[in-house]
Amino acid sequence: MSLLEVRNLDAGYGRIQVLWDVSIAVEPNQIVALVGANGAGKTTLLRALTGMIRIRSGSITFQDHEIAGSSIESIVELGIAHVPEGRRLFMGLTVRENLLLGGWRKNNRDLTRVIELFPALGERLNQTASTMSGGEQQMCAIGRGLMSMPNLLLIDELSLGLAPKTVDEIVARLPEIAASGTAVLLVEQDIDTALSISERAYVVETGRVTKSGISAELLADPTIQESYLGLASG
Amino acid sequence: MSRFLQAAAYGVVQGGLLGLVAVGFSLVWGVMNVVNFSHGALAVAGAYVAWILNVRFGLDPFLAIPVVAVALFAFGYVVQRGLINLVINAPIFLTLLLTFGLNLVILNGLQLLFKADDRTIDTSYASQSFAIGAVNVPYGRLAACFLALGITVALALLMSRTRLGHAIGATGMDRGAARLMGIRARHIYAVTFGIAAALAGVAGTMIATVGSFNPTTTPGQLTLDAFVISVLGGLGNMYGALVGGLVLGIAESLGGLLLTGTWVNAIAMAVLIITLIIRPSGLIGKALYGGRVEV
Ligand SMILES: Nc1ncnc2c1ncn2[C@@H]1O[C@H](COP(=O)(O)OP(=O)(O)O)[C@@H](O)[C@H]1O
Ligand SMILES: [Mg+2]
Repeated sequence: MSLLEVRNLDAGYGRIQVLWDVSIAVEPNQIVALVGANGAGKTTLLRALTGMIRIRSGSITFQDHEIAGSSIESIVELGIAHVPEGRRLFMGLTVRENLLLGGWRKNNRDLTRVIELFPALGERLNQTASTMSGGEQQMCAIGRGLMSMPNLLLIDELSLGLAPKTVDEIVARLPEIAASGTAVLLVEQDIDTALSISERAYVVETGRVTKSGISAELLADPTIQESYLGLASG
Repeated sequence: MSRFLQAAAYGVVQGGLLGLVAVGFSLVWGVMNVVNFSHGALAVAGAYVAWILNVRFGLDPFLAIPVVAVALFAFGYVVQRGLINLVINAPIFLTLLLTFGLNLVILNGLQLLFKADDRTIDTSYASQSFAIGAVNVPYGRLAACFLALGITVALALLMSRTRLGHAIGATGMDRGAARLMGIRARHIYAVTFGIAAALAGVAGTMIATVGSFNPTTTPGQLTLDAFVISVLGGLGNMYGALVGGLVLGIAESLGGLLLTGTWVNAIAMAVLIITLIIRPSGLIGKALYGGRVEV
């Protein structure tokens, strides 16, 4: 039984359909990557998973619960956390306040897991979120997501606007997160990063899953890089 | 000179009260992007609750405050949950229309129940005062002003120090992200509107104690004052509302020395226009919720 299983999902914005017949699965404690060019529909898929947009058809099962059509709040309560594209921290609030809001639903006020994972945050708990570097903000956003003690963490564009070294630092923490019981569904434009850290991956092109499999094998597949890079640079 | 000092003193105590009138209006505007036309009506509704309690049961208006606050909070919560939430995503024009309609409904209801007469809550201490030099300070006004200051500071602390306050602020900044934390935005909105209504009701009670009120002219005047003060102080800025209230209170009071009758009402508009020209972001820094992001 998969942790998350999406079957034949159609979704979009209003009358515009973006996702067509999407099926993916995430197993417990796994890191799964979702790669694809800009505009392929990766963000839309994550939004559909957490109830931020309406689903047209298909099913989403999470830990035996059908969550297609559920509210954002109840999906969060069931154990999915979503680190949104652009991070969307509460900029006027401090790191501590951001993290505590992450634990709102579960009333979790224990910051130790997050601070152990990202010691840099521990030193900046009283700093206003807006005054931190992009990398620290991304750590804070991921930490905020973890505060709801999720079994599945969705991360949208982890590397957005960050220096490669910073990205490596943050990505290096993902296996630890997965091993401690929080599977990760990682959306990344940087295909090399995404495929090297994940166990399995799905390639999304214009709203459809066109390829899927073991990340290491996909990484070695020249056609993936070509089609993907061709779209991305076009 | 003594006339001037007297007017200034009156302006300060009146300004503190006006700050309390405005703080909830500013909060609702800042957090939900709703310009609540019925805010003054809510203040007057609170005044009637206290007035009834006083006339029927002889309850002192200061002691009636908890009752007024709870009643108005409940009313505000239900109005937001059942009505304003329905159009919260609509263009601001629609929410304006809705609160304008709500204003009419409340005012007509109050007129039916209580007639259009001027009312005041009589207390033994309202007419008593003490003197500092040539300046007379009525006890009632001073107490009302201190209470207003205290409540405004308490609200500011609630917003900056408590979990609930952070959740309200977060929902105001980025509702989508707040919902991803599992924060129920509709409930938070209703709580926010409830708080605003409760504070308006308390302010109305104080106004009824130190002066008079009626269901026809008072609500509009209070809504206008709240609007001007919110722009002055910056949307969603609690201390800004306090400072804005003092500025407007003093301006109206001093203006009253020079101008007569209805011209005093124009002072609020003048203050608003001057603010918009000199400092469109308000007197104190910028609004808390500059970058609003929807889901
Ligand atoms: N809020 C929206 N309203 C309408 N269309 C949108 C919206 N957001 C994204 N889209 C469209 O959906 C498609 C997929 O976008 P998105 O999921 O953001 O892609 P990705 O995250 O893979 O870059 C794009 O064609 C985009 O224009
Ligand atoms: Mg995206």
